Amino acid sequence: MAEQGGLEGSQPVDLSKHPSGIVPTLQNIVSTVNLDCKLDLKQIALQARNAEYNPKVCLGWLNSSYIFFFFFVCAASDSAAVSGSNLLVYKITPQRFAAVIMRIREPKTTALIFASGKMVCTGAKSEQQSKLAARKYARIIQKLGFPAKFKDFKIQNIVGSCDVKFPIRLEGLAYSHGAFSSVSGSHFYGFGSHPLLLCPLLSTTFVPCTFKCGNACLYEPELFPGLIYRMKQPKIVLLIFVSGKIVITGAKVRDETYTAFENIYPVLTEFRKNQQW
Amino acid sequence: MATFELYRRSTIGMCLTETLDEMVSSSTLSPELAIQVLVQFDKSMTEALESQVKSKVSIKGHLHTYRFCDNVWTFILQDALFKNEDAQENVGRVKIVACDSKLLSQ
Amino acid sequence: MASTTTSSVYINVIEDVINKVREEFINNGGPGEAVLNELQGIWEAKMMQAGVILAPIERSSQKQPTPGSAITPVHDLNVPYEGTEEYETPTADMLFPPTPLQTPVPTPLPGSADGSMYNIPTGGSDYPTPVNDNGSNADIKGGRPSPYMQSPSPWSNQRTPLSVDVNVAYVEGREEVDRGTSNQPLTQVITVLSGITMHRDCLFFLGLGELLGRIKRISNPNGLNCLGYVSFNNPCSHLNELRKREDFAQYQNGGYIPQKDGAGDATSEVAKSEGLTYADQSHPGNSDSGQYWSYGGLMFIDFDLTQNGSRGGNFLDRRHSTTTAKSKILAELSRSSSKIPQLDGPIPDPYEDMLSTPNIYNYQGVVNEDYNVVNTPAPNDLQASTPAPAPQNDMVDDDDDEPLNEDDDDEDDLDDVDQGEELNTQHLVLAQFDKVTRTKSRWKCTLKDGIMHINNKDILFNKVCMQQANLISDFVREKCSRHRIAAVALKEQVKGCYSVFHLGSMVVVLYIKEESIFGLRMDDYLRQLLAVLKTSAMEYVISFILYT
Repeated sequence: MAEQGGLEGSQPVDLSKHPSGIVPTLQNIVSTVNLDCKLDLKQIALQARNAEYNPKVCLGWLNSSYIFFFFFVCAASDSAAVSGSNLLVYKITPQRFAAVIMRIREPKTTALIFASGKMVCTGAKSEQQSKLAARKYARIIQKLGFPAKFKDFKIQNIVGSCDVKFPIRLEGLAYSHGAFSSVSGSHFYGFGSHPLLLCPLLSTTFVPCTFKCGNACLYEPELFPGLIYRMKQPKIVLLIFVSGKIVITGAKVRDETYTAFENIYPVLTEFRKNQQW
Repeated sequence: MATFELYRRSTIGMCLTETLDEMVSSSTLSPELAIQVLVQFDKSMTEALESQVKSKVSIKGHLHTYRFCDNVWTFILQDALFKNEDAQENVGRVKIVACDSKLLSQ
Repeated sequence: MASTTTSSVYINVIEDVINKVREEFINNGGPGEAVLNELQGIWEAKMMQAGVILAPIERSSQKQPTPGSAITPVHDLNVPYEGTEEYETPTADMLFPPTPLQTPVPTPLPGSADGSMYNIPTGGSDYPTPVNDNGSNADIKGGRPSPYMQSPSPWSNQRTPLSVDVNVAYVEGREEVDRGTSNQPLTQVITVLSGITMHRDCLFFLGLGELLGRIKRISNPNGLNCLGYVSFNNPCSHLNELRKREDFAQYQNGGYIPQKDGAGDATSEVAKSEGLTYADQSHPGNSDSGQYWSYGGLMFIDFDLTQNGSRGGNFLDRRHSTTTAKSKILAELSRSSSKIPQLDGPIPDPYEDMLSTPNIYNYQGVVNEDYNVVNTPAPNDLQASTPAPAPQNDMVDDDDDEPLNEDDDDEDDLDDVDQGEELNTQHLVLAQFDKVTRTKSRWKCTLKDGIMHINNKDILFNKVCMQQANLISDFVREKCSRHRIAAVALKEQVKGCYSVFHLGSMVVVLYIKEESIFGLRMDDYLRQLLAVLKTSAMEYVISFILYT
């Protein structure tokens, strides 16, 4: 896999913009657009290429390589097409899913097209690609005979990732930045006053406390191996892993991603795990 | 019982359809009977494929397009390689139409 | 024979149907038994005419199917299929053609090979491109790799005519290269390379081990290295052979392509760090030695395609021990791919400002071009990813509406629409599906109980596993679109699939082998390509990289 957070192209990293020297790589862009016309999904499914439409069956899919999926609907099919890879997960829950799932190869994206004329475009690696892809889908719909327009295109989410190249002490980070508190009715398991050993079997309704600039941390290794850092400014969620890999999601603009990372970088450095061996 | 009219597009199915068309046109056969024959053909064909055919084939190719609608998958494969037990076939372009096998058993 | 089975199944089906509807015909005031028999008769006649039934069950006469619908499953692969006039029972010879006339080993020199087997015609094709016509070529492989190679005309036609006969020793496939005879192919390679005068735009095939390579020599303004790449079944033996052999010097000598050090930074690091073996051959003349090295099961022949003098001094000058850490190399390469210009590029800061300017949406014409070439740093206008603030919405809408008309995209997909429908009746598979899954671009389907009508044959099956094997074109296209790659599929009916791609100024020939990936590239484009391919868990052996 291409290095994430590596040098940006052959140009040196702009340290004024990325003081950490690392630039997060954008992995996924989710955008929406309004085609502004009612659509006959069946006709679209029959005429368009690379389209799936089954209103009785719901499909759920994960965005590749990310635990957080941005669009999750449930599958009713008994075949429960569970892909061999961990990238696709279908859940078996009966629901109605009234959208055509269409894909194009360039840019490699997937679109969910609804009868109302709204469309979600996912999978692009950049904002421009997402817009281009959305345009292509709109064009396809237009060519099928619908008066599709391209209204209110909006990037809804930008996911980026990078690698700080050093391991991180998640417990320390969680503790100092507002790990979940044991105050909410649960109890310690006899660890005394050791602050770092928070028992994972606490009440399920733990509440992440907010500390330090209103950010919240959630580190529950038994549930999820990464620390979930909810930054308030900008309003971004970061997944921080022991390996030093970071996932940054929730941004509407690319700069939020970059800012969030730059904000967290000193914290990560502070909680760098020193090599034991 | 629901049948797959899928197999009517095959050679055998097309032959039957043509034959029936001819006979209906010449009024030898009534249309209703022709439809009954076709339905019976669907059933027989499906059953024959289940019981009488035991070969396994592997197809590899480049997926050009796919479509899923009404529980029917349609693929168009390019440069496909069909591997039978004893033979191989190469085709530049092939269309694959597949119905959900679970619908029959429901 | 499958056809026998198919035929018998069909006969059974016919009988079953007739029997089941007999009651309908006879009772309830139906047309009667005579009509039923007539139905059966006509039906069977049509079936026989279509050639799907071999022997009529009730007729004594043996009808021959019409020429155009011969069931002949295999043909003499040396001869274009002309639609046999007689129905031939497939014989062993037909099913398994004898050794190709043209064995690659003994014919190293260009022009000498008659190339009927291994010809990669450039100007024209010995065989018509296997169009899906009735009676078209049957690209059936017996137990051997098909010596028939389709015309690479779409690709080759883009190049100037060869100055070297393409029919140079094409060492085909694994079957040709036994483990024990590893020397020969290598010699073959060497001899070939030495025997070839490298002119501009020459094209020749080089196959070794399981690899089919194609080198095209063209001007090399970028000064990038060309990497020849060959895989062996038994790397060590080949490697040892390589190291020992003097012939390699010959390979170096014979007017060989001068080596020029290009943007092989990563590779040099890789070579340095991962321990590639190579032979350092320096020769007088205007050309440095093409150097080779290998790791794992791969041998890399590095040679420079330029006519210019060589710069030498690249990593190949260093000697290293052999390792098989190809994964490391790949990792290194993929790491180094980070040096590739990031395509997303930083958005100019004041993109909000751009949103406020009315001109931002007047990029219709530019959009298409640029999007097709996402490599270029997007003009400022294109950075507007979020809609303008409310006041501009009206303008946005109006302007956004227009581009839709011009965003005539999806390239050849649209053109194929008609084509797809026309080819509707050719090669059809009707079945039921058990499961259809998809992982990124890879589809896997399990079908059952189906009828296949391909190559004018009817095949029935109980179970089919369909996989999308040849992902190259899509994969490369989608991943490397930023590198202005136009994927050109090269259809060759040999074991595996070959695809040829233009990566910017380069042409890459990729051979899809199996399910694992290993490969090495020389320059940034290919480096990234490989890093990308690596994630797909497909095996590609990059044969040669060519430059435009």
